Amino acid sequence: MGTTESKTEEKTNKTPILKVLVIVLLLAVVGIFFSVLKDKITGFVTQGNVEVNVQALSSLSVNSNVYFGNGTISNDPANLTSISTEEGDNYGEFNNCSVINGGINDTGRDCTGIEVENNGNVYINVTMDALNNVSGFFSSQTLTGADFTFAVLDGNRTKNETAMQIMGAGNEGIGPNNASCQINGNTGTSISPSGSYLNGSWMNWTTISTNPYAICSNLSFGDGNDTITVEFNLTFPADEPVGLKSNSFTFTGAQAD
Amino acid sequence: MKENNIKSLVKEDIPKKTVLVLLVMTMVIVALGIWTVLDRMNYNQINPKTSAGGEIKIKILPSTNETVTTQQNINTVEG
Repeated sequence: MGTTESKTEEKTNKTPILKVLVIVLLLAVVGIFFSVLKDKITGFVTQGNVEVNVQALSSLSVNSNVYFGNGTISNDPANLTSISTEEGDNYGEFNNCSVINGGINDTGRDCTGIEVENNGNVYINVTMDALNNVSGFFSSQTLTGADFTFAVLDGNRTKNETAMQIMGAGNEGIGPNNASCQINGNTGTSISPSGSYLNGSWMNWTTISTNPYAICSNLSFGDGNDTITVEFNLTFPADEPVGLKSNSFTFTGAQAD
Repeated sequence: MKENNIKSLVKEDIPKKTVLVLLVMTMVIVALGIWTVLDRMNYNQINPKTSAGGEIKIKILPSTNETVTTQQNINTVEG
């Protein structure tokens, strides 16, 4: 008799637990169903409002290369040849970089710096990787006086995109919202190396290395204010052999934190 | 007697069908859960990097002095 009673009691006690378990499972199924359904909806109307989920797209493009052209260099160690994408009148026959030349396919006169544009729809941080450093780029035995540096300017190579460029050097105080490379809220960093003035009035030339270099922590997107330009400066050692010299750069963008 | 009662109790505690249904539902839920996580990773959580290349080129020509010197050497040899 006692056994039958306890059996009935246990059944009575476990039945609600079973029900709860089944309800929990059902709720989980319903929750997953709605969760999946929500992701698949790209737009729906609720009380006259249309909600559209736009996916984040990190994307950048390089709009120009640098081709200094052909020329001779100085063999005098006391008077080495220097050329720059920021110079209006480069040494000898090398391209004059003060004017805008052709596009990326114009192999004749591309000499305005490498322009990097954010053509996605999110802020990105941009990193630059160089294939060669100073010793890799030059073939000189001594490398005496050799120099290969870069600097980063806000805006495009035509220098007419951002308000900062239009206003010119000395007017950087107009605010980060008018710049392409803005301040990253988490890291507090922006363009790097920083401080270069437009039109080369002062450039923060930094020696190129093969280590990845974060040149912009928060590059904006949109039709304007979405480009930075990497400028280059070279000084040739007197014993640099003749021939074609080239260096490749890879620019990598990822959504800014 | 007591042992038999306990065994019968255990056997009759939850019907096998119920266990089977719960098992299937659990598997379905797990599958849906994994699918949901992977689906969201594809669209929202993975932050793919994008890259593009640029290039600097310059051609150094022989200087005029070097050319003259070379020509002189050739003349000397010919002479």
